[in-house]
Formats: sequence, structure tokens, C-alpha cells
Amino acid sequence: MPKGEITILVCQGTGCVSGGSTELYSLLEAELAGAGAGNVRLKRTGCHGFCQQGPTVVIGPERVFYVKVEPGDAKEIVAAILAGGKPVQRLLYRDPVTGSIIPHYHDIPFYREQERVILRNCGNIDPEDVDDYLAAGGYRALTRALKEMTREEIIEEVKRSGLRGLGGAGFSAGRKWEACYRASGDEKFVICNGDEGDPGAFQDRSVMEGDPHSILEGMAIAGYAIGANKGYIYVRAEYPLAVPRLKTAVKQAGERGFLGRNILGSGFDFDIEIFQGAGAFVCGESTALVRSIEGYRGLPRPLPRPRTSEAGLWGKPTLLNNVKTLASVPHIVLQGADWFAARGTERSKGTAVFSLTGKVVNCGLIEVPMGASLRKIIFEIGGGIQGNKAFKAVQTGGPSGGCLPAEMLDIPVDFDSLTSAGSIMGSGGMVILDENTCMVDLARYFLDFTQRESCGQCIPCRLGTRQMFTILDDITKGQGRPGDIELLVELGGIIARGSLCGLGKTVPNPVLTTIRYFRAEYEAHIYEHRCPAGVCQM
Amino acid sequence: MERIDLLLDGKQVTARSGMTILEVALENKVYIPHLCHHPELKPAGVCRLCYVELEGKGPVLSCRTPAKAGMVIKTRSPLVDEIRSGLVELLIADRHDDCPSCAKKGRCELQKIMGYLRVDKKKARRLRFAEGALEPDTSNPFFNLDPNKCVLCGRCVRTCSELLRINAIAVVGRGYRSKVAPLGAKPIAQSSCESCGECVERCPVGGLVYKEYKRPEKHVLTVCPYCSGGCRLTLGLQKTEIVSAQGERLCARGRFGWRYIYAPDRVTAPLARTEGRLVEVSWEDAIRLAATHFARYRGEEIAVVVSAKCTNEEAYLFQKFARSVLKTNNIDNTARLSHAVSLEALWEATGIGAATNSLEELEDAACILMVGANAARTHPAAARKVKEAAEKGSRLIIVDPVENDFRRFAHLWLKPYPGTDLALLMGIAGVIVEEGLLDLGFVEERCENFEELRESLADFPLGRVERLTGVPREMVAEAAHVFTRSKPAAVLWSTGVTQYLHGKDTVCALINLALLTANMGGPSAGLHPLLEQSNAQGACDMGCLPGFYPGYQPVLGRGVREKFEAAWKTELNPDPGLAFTELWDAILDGRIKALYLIGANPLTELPGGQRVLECLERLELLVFQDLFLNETAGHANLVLPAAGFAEKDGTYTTADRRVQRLRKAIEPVGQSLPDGEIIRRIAAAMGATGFDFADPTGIMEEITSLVPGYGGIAYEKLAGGAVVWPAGTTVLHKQAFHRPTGKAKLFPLDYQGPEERPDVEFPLVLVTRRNAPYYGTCAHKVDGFRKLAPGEYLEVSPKDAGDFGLGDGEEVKVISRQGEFRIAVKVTEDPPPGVVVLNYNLPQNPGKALMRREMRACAVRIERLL
Repeated sequence: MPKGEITILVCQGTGCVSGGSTELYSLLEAELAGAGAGNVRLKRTGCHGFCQQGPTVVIGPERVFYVKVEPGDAKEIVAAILAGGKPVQRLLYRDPVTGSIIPHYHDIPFYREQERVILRNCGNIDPEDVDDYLAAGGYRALTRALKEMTREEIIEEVKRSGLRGLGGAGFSAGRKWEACYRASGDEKFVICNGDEGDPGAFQDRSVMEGDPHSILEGMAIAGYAIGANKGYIYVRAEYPLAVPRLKTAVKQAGERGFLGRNILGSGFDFDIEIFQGAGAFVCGESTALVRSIEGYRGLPRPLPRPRTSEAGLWGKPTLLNNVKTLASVPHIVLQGADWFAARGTERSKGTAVFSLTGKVVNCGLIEVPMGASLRKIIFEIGGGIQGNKAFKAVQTGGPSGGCLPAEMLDIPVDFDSLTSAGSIMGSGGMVILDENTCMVDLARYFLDFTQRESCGQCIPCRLGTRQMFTILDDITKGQGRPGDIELLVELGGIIARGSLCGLGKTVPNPVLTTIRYFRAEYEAHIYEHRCPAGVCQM
Repeated sequence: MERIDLLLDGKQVTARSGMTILEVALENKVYIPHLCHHPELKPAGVCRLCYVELEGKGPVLSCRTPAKAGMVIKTRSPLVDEIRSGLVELLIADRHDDCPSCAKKGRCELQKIMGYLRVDKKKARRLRFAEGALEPDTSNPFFNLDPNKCVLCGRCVRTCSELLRINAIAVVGRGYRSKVAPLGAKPIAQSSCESCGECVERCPVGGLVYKEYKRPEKHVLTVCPYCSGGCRLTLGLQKTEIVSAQGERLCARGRFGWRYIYAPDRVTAPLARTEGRLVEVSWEDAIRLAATHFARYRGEEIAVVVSAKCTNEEAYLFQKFARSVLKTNNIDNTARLSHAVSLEALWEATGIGAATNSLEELEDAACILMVGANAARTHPAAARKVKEAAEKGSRLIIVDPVENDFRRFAHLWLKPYPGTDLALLMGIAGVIVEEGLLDLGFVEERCENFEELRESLADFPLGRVERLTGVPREMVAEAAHVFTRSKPAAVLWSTGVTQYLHGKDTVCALINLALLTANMGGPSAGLHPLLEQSNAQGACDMGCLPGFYPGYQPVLGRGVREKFEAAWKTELNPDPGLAFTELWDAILDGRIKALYLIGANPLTELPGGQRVLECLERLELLVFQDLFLNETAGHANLVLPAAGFAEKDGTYTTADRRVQRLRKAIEPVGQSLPDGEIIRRIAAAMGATGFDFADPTGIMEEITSLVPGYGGIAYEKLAGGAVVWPAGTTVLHKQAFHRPTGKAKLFPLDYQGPEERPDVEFPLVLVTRRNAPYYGTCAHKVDGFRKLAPGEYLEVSPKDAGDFGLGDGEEVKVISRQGEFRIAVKVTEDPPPGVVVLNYNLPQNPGKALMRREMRACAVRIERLL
């Protein structure tokens, strides 16, 4: 029997749960009970990020990393711990490139090259246990904010940190907070936008599932700073793990006095309500989200209109921030703006969380300082392209984003560089495409998504996306017509300039960037009736 | 308002601050393409066609950008034209490529934009055209909803929600599958759509089009013949045929109700009973017959009932005829069955038998007390105003045993047992007096009878009120508190009050409440009976009342008879007459032998149908005058075919005392004649003078000389719009009441319950309500209304359904002491336990057969069919 406390962290993120980690946890529990191992602590955690290798188990304190664990492995894992000796070799991570075994979590390239701020607790604490969050330093930032800082000081700290909205637009969080603070109103609201809808994006979900209290803490600090007493978390009903975990967290935080009336004796009241969205993609847009909470159909409001920070929910000043933005706040308050701003680039501070998917070796959730290059993300953390194929492009920012080719691999990943390359940071989806991907087909895929998910209000987005999709569909079927490329570019311009909301203004991006960087592929489809990637059947 | 100058297409224009660029342009006759903008609706900004080039800013959406001083705007530029041409091409490719076959061609705003931009189908050819057609919704008998022609500008949806607060349609679906449809994937005819057609009026394209559209060539401005709201109606004519009706916020009855004019079963010639059958006769014969018949009876033996839809001039002539020719005060009008008691009570209390304020003022009422009114059905214009006020923050207190669509607007909803409202209102008054919430200064200075009222309030302790009404005492007190806290407060009521046997007392109790709290004599306060028929007010004003000469001058009043004898140059009967509802006993005991009915159908309108039938059979003479034959007509000796509202000139008076011109649009159908012309001919045949007016103008002159309130009203003044009586005064009783003492009268009241209370044998109370917006006048003669009418059903609360084992949709037998009938059950939350609601729409109300004298409620039991 080994000495000292040993923790077994069993990932209970969506990916690992679907791989059987709930049963795995029960069997581990039974094995440990049978063995009477009092110093071994079994813990459910949120997502570790390395979903491709799930279900994952981390055995502390050395942080031995088991991958692709099946429920049947429970006996062997417990036996190895009790024996106090060698880990189960066959469950250890094997580098897909070199083939060598890497037993410890922090030595694995996927983790080694990351810098986890927002995801710090994800995978390490039990998201359903407030004590675990407290043990990890949770609610100390709120305590500090309420007891040691004025509202103005908090806003100043957030401003100085350079934190920018991580939902995609990258608006300065501090300035938004200040605007809400300044806005006059007897009642104000804080809304956490957890309506993550981009295909292939799951970073907000992972934070909500793995570290819900960090969001609540960030919201409470925000509420205190701007003068709001009520917060909403808008979460997709399609996130069946996130919803109950957030609810549990709200309940526990209330029981411990971190939410509710007179928080920590400060006289500040703050309540949070979980609002489940009905699955419309456009509800991630701030004004549509607000209308959805109000009980109306989620439709974006056209410009010019007052900012949400001045007239948002029920016409009251409303602070609307993304999950990750709010989860960053406790770190800034606790460790200071300078600490936070030490990461990142000149104009994009802090870290960014990405969902790395597609044809990359290591799929999963990663966090890097702003400004890390695409090459580093894809080839070091991501381990390169599956099956030794050639890298072709990376799609960032989901349906509003664009595709960047190999020539762009060395640009730094931050808000401004991605925008000038024709894509966007977006909410952090990153899809890696290899040589077998047809770029026309890819553009068609995204436009198929947006023609369905457009709210349908304005003509350019409703009919423009439908038209672009139909043209792209024709091209992939070999029915493209001469002039289609120019037509797509023209339509893209009309949609971008004419649309009512931020979604409409960016939906042509997947088409426009693929034309910009891969025009030859379009031409091959239209004029030679062939698909260079061999995807389209014509 | 601040004026601002800006430069529009190089031209200096002036605007008022608050206007958008688009509004400024349109006002200055500069066209900017647009589809979603409509002057009455909030800017939506969804069609994206109205971009303009704003110097220093580039393209901006003109419908949402406020005009500012010094702006330099170009309505066209290569960039904005490129955007909107692109959008129009997208629309063309999306099934807007077949103008020639479209019902809206030539009137379509998209077509106009295509011309403006010179974009056509040919230019759009480079795009992919949508394939296949979508299914239109043709379920509504008046209009079609065609998604193929829709541009999703949302004008219709916003009209339904913003302007009408009905919310029957919405944009459903997402992305390119979005479409306008009723919620719940049902055809529009089965939705909450009220078929008002306001959406059709505002549709810029062919998405919503009338089924039978004919383009009007000229227009006639007149007044809607349905409720007493007096909506102005513009009838469109093609040659000599009415083809459309337009107006500001019409309801279905206003928009389509005129079609009864062309119903195939109009009576188009006089009919006389010969050998038991009604056969066609000439007008000469008919008039001669009427004259000789009438001449046979003494004044006490004959009675006249006038429709509350006759014009003021006609109503005046009828009562003049009854009084001066037939020598009887047995003259009443059909509002007797709804609101005559309201006006009589108001006259007693204040000296003027009319609403004290205009409906317009409801907007600024801090509190609205609405009692026994299914206003959305009976008086849509007032209903909309109440809803608007509630949305603006007015406290709406509703007293009604049965819930309706005001649910989401109400601040308090009190549900007394049917027919017990008086006890509830006296309970509220008791709280007001006891807690000193009354305006004592006002009461002492301007009211009489306060001590008597205070004494009678002692009979209404909250314990008794709670027992009688079933309303918890806390709610009674809360209502008193809200009512007194929120001033000004307006009081509205309708037939849920007046159609009970003791309805007049309940009206008096409402008057008490307004007086105690000084909600009288000031704006946005006062008393509003929501009269049902278009000229109920006018028919009463004109003296079609057994106790009053025109202008509420009492038959027994000092010098009144003499005044009219002098004016009419004849002797008049000194005794007050019998009311419409009092005639039947008199017919049965032989006192009344002859009856002249103008637009009345007692056989279906009165309770106790069997007794009425006996009466009709007992009558020696029944002269029946109407547009259509009905059940009562079957007993007539003589039928005189009357013309409808669009076939004659005259005036109507609204529930809030606005006198408006009814204008003739077409010649009377067939041989029918306006009521006024018929009575003129009969009077002439009887040798009477004082009826030979060339046109209604002369009649109005006589009215103004004899009716104090109508003094000064002349047709020239009515040309420009409504004139309010008396003397343009919208708020009555500002300084003094119009009674000899100058003070208002408070009413001490006793409680008398409804005719029947539930017992072991008949454990439920049945009340009636009209469940469709389509009833009244001759609505049932309009094909479309008949198709839309949901039929009859009995609403039962879930608790009663459980207790009596009734299933939703099950057919049952409803039995009262008087009769029985079969009907299907619908389980809903609207009625409280113990109350069942008989919903009906077209004129036959089967509930009447179950009732004795009470018109609204009776005790019943329900038996399941085996």
C-alpha cells in the first residue's frame, strides 16, 4: 500500500462519458471500496481536453495519464495503485509519431505546450463539489473584490488586463463593463453567453461542465462591479451535462453564501438563473439572445440601435460576456491585471481556448497564450496531420470564419491577425483540413449550415445564403457555370454589406476565403468538371 | 418640436426632430425603395432596401437612422443601388418571377421597386431560381396567405401584434424555410386570427390578398353599422357596387360585414299576408294596408319597437309617429335588450343619459374597471384602447365570472357568481367609505343621497359579500384599494351587467363608485357603457324610449308634453308607455293588440321563447320591417322591406356621443326603402303632417330645435368629421351635473340576486357568451362569417368536467327548468367551477330557450347521453 494521498481523476466530460467513463467511475469506486484503500481519493472531473484519447484517467500526485480506458480496466488500475508500483503500461499514452510511451500528463506534447488559465481547473476539480473549487482557490477573487476593492477598481483592473471578449468579437471587456457601470438604470443584468453553436466548437461547454463555479464567480464580480443583482446563464439545452452542473453549482454557491442576499456580509445581492436556449444558432448573437430570454423569438435587432450595455434585457443596461471571458475574471482579480497581461500580444492579451478538430493527430480542447502561431498549435500541440498527409488549410471561427492556407501557418493567432487574413477568431473553433479536403465542398458545408440557421429576418442573409449554397451545391455536382465564382464574390459582398446582424455580415467568409486562397479548386470544378481533392462526385 | 434642415439629393429639406431619414424623404416626395417600412409600424429594418448614402458615413439604413441637422444624403449611389439591386434579384429568384399571374400586379410595391432599379427577371437569370411551389393557405373565406408571393417583410405580423394585439400570425421556421403562418401549424381559419384584414391592407406584395378583389373607382365616407364605436368606414365602389371597406383599424365586421347588403335572401318587395301566406304586393298597397291597420287601434293598444341601427333622423321620426300619429308612448328601441337601462340610470344620476367621457381618453386612465364586458367581441375599438392603456401601465380591474382574452392585461380579475355583481360593487363601495378612501369634498359638494347610500352599504359587510359573490374578501378590499389609489379611473361595463334582471341597479352601483371617488368631471375618468348597436345611443337620444321624449325629457316631466304638443301641433298621450320587455304580459292579457317592429326579432332575442311565440300568435296585427325575413316575420301580417346602412343618408351617434354622418353609397336594393322613407309614406297615408321632409337635413333641424343636447348640430358641421353632443363637450359634468339641483345622485341599493340560483336539482349556472367576432346586425348573412363561425359549444371547467364525468368534445344534454338542448362540451379554464358557458355566435342563442325572464343566466344540470 503506497503512502500519502493518491487522487484518481476520472474525466466526466461529454466525450469521455460517451466513452463509458460513468461506468468506469462506478467500477473504480467498487474496486476501491472492496480494497479498503482509505488514502485513495476518487474524483469526477470535467474535461481534460484530450478528448480524442478518452476516457482519460489521471492518477496523482505524479499525474500518470491513462488513455482510452474502458470500464473493464478498473480492476487493473486499482491493483496497480495498491501495489504501489508500475502503472498499467498498456493504458499509458503512446506518442503517435515516435511510438514511445509518455507516462506523465505534463510530458505529453499536447499538454506541455499549452498554458492553461481559463481551463486551469478543468479536469482537476470535481465540478459538482464546491469544496473542491474552494480548495483550488475558488471564490477568493470574489472575496477580494467585495472586501478589498471598489467597483471602480475592479473595472480598472479588468480594463488594464486587456481582456477582450472571447465570444468572438474581441471587444474590450473592461470598456464594456465600464459602459454598463456608467449606464443609468435602476436595474441591471449580467448575462453569460453559453449558447455555443459553431459546428465543431466545444470550449464553452467544457468550461461549463468542468469548472462551473469559475463562471459564477466571474459573474458575481461583474455584477458587483456594474451594479447588477441578477445574472442569467444562457446555455443550450443540447448540453445535457452542462445544465445540471451549472444548476448544482448555483445551488451550492447559494448555500455557501457566494450567491444570494448579502454575499459574504458585503450587502451585495446577486442571483443567477440558468436559461436554456432552444437551439437556434442565431441566439448566440447578443440582441437575439436577449430577446430569447425575454420570451420572444430570438431575432437580432438591426442597427442602428442602442448597445446592449445601455439597453439590453427588458431595456435595462446589460453586461453580456462569453463563458470564457467571465471565467477569466477571477484570475485577473486575484492575480492582477499585470499577471494576465503578461500573456499574449500587444493588442490581444491573455490566453485563447480552441477546440482543435479535423484531420489533426491530437483532437481536443487546448489553451494557448494569444499570439501563438498556427504552426505551433497544429504541429506541436496538435501533433500534425493524421496519416502523414499534407496540411491544406485551417478553418477558424466556425461558420462566420474563414479558411487559411499553409502560407499563413506562421501568423500569430490573435483577434487582429486573423481578421486581416480574412478569417476571425470567433468563439474558438479550429478545424484542420488535409489534402483530401475539397475546399468547395467545405464552403458548401458551411453555407448549408448558415442557410438553415439564418434567423430569416433579412433578405440578404435569408436569400443570399440560400443562393450561395445552391450555387456551391451546383459546383460540387459539376453543374457550375462560368461566372459563378464572380457571382459568389458579388453575393458575398451584398450579404456582408447588406445584412442586419453580425452573423449575416460574416457568413460569406468561408466562401470568400476559400475563393481567395483556393480559387484554382473552384475553377477545376467549374471548367474541368473535376474535384482535385477527389471528394465531389461529378 | 425642433425643426432641422438637411440636404437630400442636393435639395434643402426641413424635418422635425425624431423623424428617420426615410420619413423625411417620403414626406418630401422623394422615393426610397422599401418593403418592411410602414408609417404606422415601428421600423423593422429587415428588408434592407432603404439604404442611402450618408456623407461621411457611407450606406446607412434610412428607416432606422434618425435625421440630424446638416446631414447630406444621397438616395442613390452606385454602392447602395448595387446592394438593393442584388437584393431585388434575390427576391426575383425566390419565386417573385411571375408578375403577370399575380393578384397584386399593378399594385405591388416590389414591382414598383423593380421598375425604380430597372431590375427584371432577365437580369436575375444568372441566379439560381427556387424550384417548386409552396402551399398557400386558402382557409380564410376572405383572404389567402401565399408564401410564394411573400417577401417576409413582417408588416402583417407587426400589424397583428403592434397595432391589434391579437398575435395570430408569426414568422415561423428559420433561414430560407421561414414563413408567415399562424402558430401551431394550423390553417389560419382555425387560429386566433379575427379576420380583420388589417394585415392584408398592409401587405406590400401578393403574400396576403383578398379572395374577391375588385379595384374601387370611387369612395364614400360613412360609419360602420356594427358596434357603437363608430369607426369611420370608407366604402369603395366600382360603378354602383360596393367592393371594399377601409378605415383605421377595422375589425372583421367593419371590413367585410357590409357584404350582407348583397345577400341573396334580402326582402326586396313588400309582402302582405293573404290566406295565410305572405305574398308580394306593391308599395302603394302596402302603405295603404299599414295605414288602415294602424288607424284601427287606440294608442294604448299598439306598440312600436325601433332598431337601434336606424339613423337618428329615422329614430326621431318613428317616435314622433308613435307619439303624434298613433298617440302612444309604447315606443322603445332594441337597445332595451342591452343598454337602455345604462342610459336611463346615467340620466337619473347625472341628468345626461350618456357616457361621461370619450373613449379616446382611456389611454391616460390610471385605472380601468371593466365589468361584464366581453369587449374584444362586442366593442373591438374600446377593447383595443383598454389593452393599450393596460400596456402603458393602467391598472385593469376586471369583474367577470368568465375569463377571456383580457387575461394577460388584467391587474385584478374578480369572478363573482353570475348575476351577483351588485353585491360585489357595493362591497367595494363599503370598503371605500369605511376606510375613508372616498373623496369626501367631492361627495359633499357635488352629490346627493350620501347618507342614504352609507346606510344601505351597511347591508353589505364583506362577509356577506364574500358569501353572495364567492369573491374572497381580501380581493374585494384589494380592488377598492387599487381603484382608489390609481386616479383617474374609468368605469366600463356592458351586457354582462345590463342583461340581468336587476342590471339597472348594478349600473347604479357602478355610478356610485365613480362618484364616491370623484372620478367624474375630469379627463380619463368617468362612466362608459359599451353599447352594442351602432346607434343605440342615438335611438335613446331621439326618444325611442317609453318614458322619455327626445333628449331624455321625461313623459311625466313638467311642461314637456306641452312643449312637444306645441312643436308637433297635436295632442299627445300623457301616460308613459311600456318597454320592449314589458310588452309581452300586456299582449297576453289583451291590452296590446298591434305591434310595429322595425329591425327587431323578439322570437330569438328574448328569453322564454315559448311565451313570445304565444304572444305573436295572439297579436291582431304585426307589421314587420327589416332587410331580411326572420323567425318573427313568420307571424307578420305585413312585411315592409327596409334598406341598409349604405343605402341611405343620416347620422349615427357613438357610445361616446360623437354624431357622425352616414352617407348613401348605393341605391336601395330591389324595391326596399330607407326606414325614414317608409314611415314618411305611412304618415302621409294616415293624413299626418310634420313628416314631409325632403331629406334628413330637415329632420336634423327639427331635432336640434327640440333636443337641447343636439343644439347646434348641422350637416355642414358634420362634413369634416364628428361633432360631440352637447356642444362639443367631451368631458361632461365638469362644474355641475345636469340635474335641477346641479348635484349627482348617489343610489342606496338593495341586493336582489339573479332569477335562479343553483340547487340540488340544477347544480350549475349557465351563462351565455358570443365566441366569435362575427355577429350582430346582419353578420350571419355574410357567407364568410358563417364559414368562420365556430359553432356552439359548452365550456366546462376541468373541475366540473371531472365531477360530472364529462369528456372534452362529448355531446351532452343541458336541462333547465324551462327547457333543454344538446351540445358538445369543451373543457377549458375560462369558467370557474360551478359555471358553464354556452358559446354561440350567430343570432340563434339556444340558451334563451332555457331561461325564463333572465337573459344571461339560469340554473341547469348536465346529463350525459347514454
